[in-house]
Amino acid sequence: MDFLLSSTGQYLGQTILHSFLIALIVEVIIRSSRIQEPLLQIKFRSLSLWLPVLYLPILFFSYPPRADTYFHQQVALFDSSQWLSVRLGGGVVFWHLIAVVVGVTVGFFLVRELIPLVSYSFNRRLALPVLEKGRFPKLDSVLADLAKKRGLSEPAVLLSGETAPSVSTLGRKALVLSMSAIELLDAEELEAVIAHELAHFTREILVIGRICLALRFLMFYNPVALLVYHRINHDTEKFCDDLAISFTGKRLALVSGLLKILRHTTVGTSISRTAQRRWWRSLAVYSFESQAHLALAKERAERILHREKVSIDSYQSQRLAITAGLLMAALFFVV
Amino acid sequence: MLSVMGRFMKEFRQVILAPVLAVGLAALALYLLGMVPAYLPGSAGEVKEYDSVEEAASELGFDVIVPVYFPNYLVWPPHTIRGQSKPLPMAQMTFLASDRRTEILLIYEMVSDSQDFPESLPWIKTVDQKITVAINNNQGELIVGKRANGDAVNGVHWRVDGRHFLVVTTQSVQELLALCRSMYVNPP
Repeated sequence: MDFLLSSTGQYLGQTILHSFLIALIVEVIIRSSRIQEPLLQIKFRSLSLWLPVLYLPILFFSYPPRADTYFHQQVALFDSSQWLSVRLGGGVVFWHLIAVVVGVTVGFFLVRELIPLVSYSFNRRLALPVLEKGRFPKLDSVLADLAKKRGLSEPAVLLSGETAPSVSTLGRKALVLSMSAIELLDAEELEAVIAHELAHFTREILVIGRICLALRFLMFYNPVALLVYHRINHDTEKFCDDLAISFTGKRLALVSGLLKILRHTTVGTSISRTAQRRWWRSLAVYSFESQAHLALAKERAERILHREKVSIDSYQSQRLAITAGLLMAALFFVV
Repeated sequence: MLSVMGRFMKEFRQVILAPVLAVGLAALALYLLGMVPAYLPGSAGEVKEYDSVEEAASELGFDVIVPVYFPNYLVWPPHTIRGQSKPLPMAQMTFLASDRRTEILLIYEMVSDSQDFPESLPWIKTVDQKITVAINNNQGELIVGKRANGDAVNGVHWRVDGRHFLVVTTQSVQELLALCRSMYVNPP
C-alpha cells in the first residue's frame, strides 16, 4: 500500500484509473452520438491509450502540488487512495484485488503478446517462400485487377506453411497466403479478402496501429489498455472491410470468403488426428480467444450484410478536440 | 433558414452537448463515489480511540507530542485521544479543565507534506484574525476566532519536520503560546 501512495505508485494507478474513465466516457459518447465511422471510433477509443501516457507526466511535472495530500483531501473530485484502503472482508483490502488484476494483465502481456512478438520477429522471413507468378493464374488475375483499381503496384506474395486457410499481411508490403486459402476461395472471394488485407497497408491505419501498439506496450500493466487495444483492432478490421467493399464492390463475396475461412480454421476438419488425441489442444479450440475471434467474425459478417450507407460524421477534429479537452479538465481533479 | 437552424442544433448536440453531458455526469458520479468510503464500516481510514498517549503512538507509528508546560488548570490524562493511520496519519487530543467537565484544550498533530493545513480547522468555526508568530524557530500562525457556540478561542498552527500542529484553547493567547512553545518534536 505504501508503494501505491508513492509518486510512482500514484502515476501507475492513475494511468489505469484514467484509462478506465476515458474508455467509459468515450463509449457513452460514441453510442449517444451514433458515431458509425470505424476510423472515428478508433480515434475516440485511442484517447484512453494516449491521454494517460502523455497528459499525466505533464501534470506531475508542471503542477507538483497535485500529488500532495492537501490536494487529495481538499481539492480532488475523486481520491483513489480512499477506495484502495477499503476492507472487503477476510483480511482482503481493495488494493489486493487491483494487484491481482494487474498481475494477470502483466502475465497475459508476457505470455500472449511480448514473447510471441519477439519470436515472430526473429522467424518471420525464414521459411516463407515467394509465390512465383503463373503458379495460380486465378490469384495473378485477382492481384492485377486490384492493383489497377487501387492504382498501386502489386504486393509481394509469400506462401504460408499453414494447412488451414489463411490470408494475412507481413510488414508493409507483403501478402501471405496459404495454399488451402487459394484453393478454397473462388476468384471473387479471393479478390474481396485480399482487398481487405491490402486495406491494412493504408497509411492512416499503419500509423494509428503502430502508435496504439507502442502505447499498449508502454502500459503493459494496464488491463484497460489491453481491452481498448483489442477493441481498436476490431474497429480496424471493420474499417478495412469498408475499404475492401469500396475497392471491389463485392460485399457478399467478402462475407462468403470470411465465413469459409472461419469455418475451416475453427471446429472441424483442419484439426489433425494427432491434435484431437491431445485434449488440451482441443480445449484451445474452444478457448476464450477462439470464441472472441468467432464473435468478431459474426459481427463483421452481419455488419457487411446489413450495411447501410455509413453517414460521414461532420466536425470530426472538433469533436475529438472538445472531448479531449473536457477529459483533460476533468481528469486533473481525479487522483 | 429553418433547415440551417435544424442542422446546427443537430451538430451542436453531437459536437458539444454529448461530450459535455458525458463528462459532467462522470464527474458527478466520481464525486458521489468518492464520498462512499467514509461511510463504509471497517475502512482503513477509520478514526480510532485510544486509552493512552503511549498506545496511540505505538499503533500510529509516530511520536504523539504533548506540551512540557502543563498548568494546573488542565487535567491529565487527555479526555479523548483519537487517531488514524491512513490516508493521513493523525492524532488528536482534548483536555478538560480542572472542573473535569469542560473541554478547554485541543492538540492536533498530522503527518503531511502539504504547506497549508490539510484539513478544516477543528473547533474553530469562524476566523476573526490571523497573525504570524514564532514557535521555537518555526514560523506559525496565530488564529483568533470563535467556536460554533460563539465562544472565543485562540489557536496556533505551525509546521515542523513534515508535521502539522494545531493547538486550540479557550485560554488567553499568552497561555496558548506558552503551551505551543513547550512542544518539542526533537527535544533540546
